[in-house]
Amino acid sequence: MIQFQWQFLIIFSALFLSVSGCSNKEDLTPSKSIDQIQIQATITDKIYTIYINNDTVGTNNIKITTGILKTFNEVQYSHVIEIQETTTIYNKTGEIRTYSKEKSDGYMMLSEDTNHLKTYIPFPLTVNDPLFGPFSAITSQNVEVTISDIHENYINKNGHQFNDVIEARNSDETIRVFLNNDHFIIQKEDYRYLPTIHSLKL
Amino acid sequence: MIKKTMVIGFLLVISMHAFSITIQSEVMNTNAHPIMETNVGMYATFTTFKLPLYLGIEYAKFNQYGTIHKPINAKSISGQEQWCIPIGAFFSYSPIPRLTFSGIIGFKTYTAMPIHATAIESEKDIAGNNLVTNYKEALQTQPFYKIELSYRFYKRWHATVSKTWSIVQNKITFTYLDTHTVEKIYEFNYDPISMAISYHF
Repeated sequence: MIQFQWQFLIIFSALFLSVSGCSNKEDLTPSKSIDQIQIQATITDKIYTIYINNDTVGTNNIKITTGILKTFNEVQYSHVIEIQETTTIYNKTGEIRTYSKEKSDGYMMLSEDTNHLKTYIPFPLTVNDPLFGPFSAITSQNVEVTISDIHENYINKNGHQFNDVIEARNSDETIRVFLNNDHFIIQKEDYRYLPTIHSLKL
Repeated sequence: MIKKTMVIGFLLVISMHAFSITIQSEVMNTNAHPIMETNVGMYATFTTFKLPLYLGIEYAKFNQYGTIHKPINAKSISGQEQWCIPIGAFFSYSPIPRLTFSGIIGFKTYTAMPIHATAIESEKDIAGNNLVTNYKEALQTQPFYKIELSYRFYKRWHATVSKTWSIVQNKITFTYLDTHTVEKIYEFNYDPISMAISYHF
């Protein structure tokens, strides 16, 4: 009889612990959303300061060109958006170009690599949605990040304030990006080597 | 460090008052540990100057797990083969004649085997600067804890099941953009269950 009492106690304790553990789970239901991001909203070039460990080490210029005709994997796409990044760091300059196309439900990324023909920025944007694109700092690597928060107000490293800002991180939280509808990329942060930040200058 | 450990081990062995020694051959179950492909070891437990000591040598083959450019769970370690020397103290208790419980506490130290960093050092930034140069990894000396349940199945032969708790600490050093010297330390829990056969002299 005593043996069964112990078994009941153990089972009851396990149930109680599992139920109390579940009740502590954070409610991740997205409460905010952003309906649209206009990559081409700003026609003028955007200049970013590059910081490493809080020291200014260079600049990154983003130039966005719309309406390009471009072929990928023998398929011709019209009205393609070109994002040209020119980076100068330690007196060396280089550039990368990323291509995307606006669809009714977001942007798709265009590349010779068929794995990149997936949704780049899906609309509407809510917490836990994935984004894929050139979000790493100073490298040409495309990365997948997940929206972790949507801020009503956000101040970037250069001290400028922005509204309705999406914050997204990769799974390791070594890469972080901040975007909004008015400026597209506001700040990119990369912590894989030393803290390396691209911060938009207004 | 390894030479020192070997010299200390040799001195301990030749200074033993009573030659009471157990040699153990052990295989670790690495299935649940993504960083470890193979881990086997040979160990000796002996008592000298009334000190119960534990000394061994392990072969460990590590899997590639992430890289500094693309870490996994914010950690990385290169694929590499290492020799490891565990050294520590043990205590044992026999509740019944054939059964022995043992506990071991000590440190594991690793050889400084080189890794192939060519692919890691080939990555460039947008401007063409080397992202990472002078890349090195070194596994650090770390404590470990182990419990064993040993059963004497034939004369002086014993079969043993063990559980070890240890940390593999990977210290990575490199130069970032040919300018900044960076040091990062990544820790992995390595807690294998192992099977062993031992002979008591």
